[in-house]
Amino acid sequence: MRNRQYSAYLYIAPIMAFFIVFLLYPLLYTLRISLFDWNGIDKTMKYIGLDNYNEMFKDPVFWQSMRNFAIFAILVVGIQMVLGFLLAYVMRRPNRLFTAYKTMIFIPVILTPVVVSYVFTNLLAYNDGLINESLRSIGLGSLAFSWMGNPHIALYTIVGVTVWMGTGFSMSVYVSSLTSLSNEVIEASRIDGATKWQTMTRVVWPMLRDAHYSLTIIGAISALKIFDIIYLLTRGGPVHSTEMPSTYMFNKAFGTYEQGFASATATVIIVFAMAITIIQLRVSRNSSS
Amino acid sequence: MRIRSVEWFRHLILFAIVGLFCIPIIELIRTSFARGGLQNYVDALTKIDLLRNLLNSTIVTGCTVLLVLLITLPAAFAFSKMRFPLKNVLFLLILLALMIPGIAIAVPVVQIIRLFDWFNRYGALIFPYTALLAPFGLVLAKGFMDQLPKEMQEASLVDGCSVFQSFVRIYLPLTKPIAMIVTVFTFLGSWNEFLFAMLFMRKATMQMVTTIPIKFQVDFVTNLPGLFAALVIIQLPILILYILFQKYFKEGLTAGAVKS
Repeated sequence: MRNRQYSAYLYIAPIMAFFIVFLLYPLLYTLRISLFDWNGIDKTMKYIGLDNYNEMFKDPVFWQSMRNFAIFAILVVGIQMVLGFLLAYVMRRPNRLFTAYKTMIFIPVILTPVVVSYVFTNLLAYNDGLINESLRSIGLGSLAFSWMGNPHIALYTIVGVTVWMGTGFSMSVYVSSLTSLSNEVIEASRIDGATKWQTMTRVVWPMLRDAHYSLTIIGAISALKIFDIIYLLTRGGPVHSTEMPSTYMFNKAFGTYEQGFASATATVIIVFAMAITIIQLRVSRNSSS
Repeated sequence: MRIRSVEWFRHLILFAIVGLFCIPIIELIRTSFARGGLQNYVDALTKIDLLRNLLNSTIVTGCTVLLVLLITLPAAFAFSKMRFPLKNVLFLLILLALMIPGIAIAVPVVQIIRLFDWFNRYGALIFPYTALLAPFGLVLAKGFMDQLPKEMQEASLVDGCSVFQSFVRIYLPLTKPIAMIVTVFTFLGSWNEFLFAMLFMRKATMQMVTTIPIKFQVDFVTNLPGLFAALVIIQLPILILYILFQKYFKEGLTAGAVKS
């Protein structure tokens, strides 16, 4: 290979420095700490091998957080994709009203999660929240649940809030992929005798495979990352019914100060994140080559 | 006629769904004006001293955006237009960092901040935010530069430009669209961040806009409209930028999903 440009290292040095100090080193440090019994403050750290992992894998709350994560991720990703696709498809024709609608639906995507959680705490309040008051006033008082206090419902409430925040995103992704897919496809399938429903489900939906795929990966990662909304709405409660790997880890690290144990949980989260990334790299490489 | 009514029915459903999406936003704004009206906003700015928190968030976000642009654009140029050993390995490493949630590295980052004695200082947020947000900026910027022809550089080299000059004079001016997108993405990530802001900024005068509502949780019971006025103010910079740069917001947030 002729003329290697060693000066390139000068261009990438700053970003690599940030990467090493604030990402790579913390990652390795987390792996190491997960083998110690340590509260994060004292000088003394005790090496205990894989005991943190053994203890964690025996903790039913850890498994509950994993189960919640799976339910949450599947529901949020599924609903956001279907709802986002329907909205994008119905509003595929350029028109001022639709543009306004799409702008409104996209706004929750950019809102501050802290603000969103306060607004929903207020909306979903059991006694005087707007939702329960509306339900009672139209005679559906039996549906006026304790949205965040009932352990059978709280997780689904958070799914709802997250879908509210994320549907604008999936809709926008589908809007871009639908514009690149020509209108002729839809017309041709109609001429061939397909009904509107068949055109949408059997012709258009399968053609958007790249978008479905990206949204699944991004959705899985955001489900893994979700923290602020849950921390502020329920703190993982009631009785761990909304506990996620992130809140579980946070409570161990900064609630009970078992930072060795918390690092074991963090390691599991990192392994999940890496696995998703590697799957993504594999598939995108296969599809591009 | 039947077709017409089907059409109307569909519009009605669509309108209802959009309406449902708007309810929380309408409630936010309505509650913020309840009882005292505009006075709620004056209270939020004076009694809660929100201006100080807005200033903190503006400084942190501004510095993070600048720093991210400063380190990603040259790196994107090198990864896209230069040849050097380990290029692919290094890029892959940064790709892997793309997905790491902040919470997963919170414990060591707290140690680092303690080591540098950065608690209650802007650096405690600016540097970790830069590290967490720069990898995505790099991927976007490299993707953009890959589409710029390499011949431009070769031509400029023939004309006697150094590699650095070709980067600054020829490529940099062309990267404005992607720089805008990276800016929007970084701005949102930094302004909306909560976990590190809560862990590192304990002093009242150093808190970010995302953590002050916790400080005023008492107000949640006694002065809800005042708190909601504060929430609207926190949201205003984002909404104003959204209205001004809508195109970049949508592209900036969906770019990773649409292209890859």
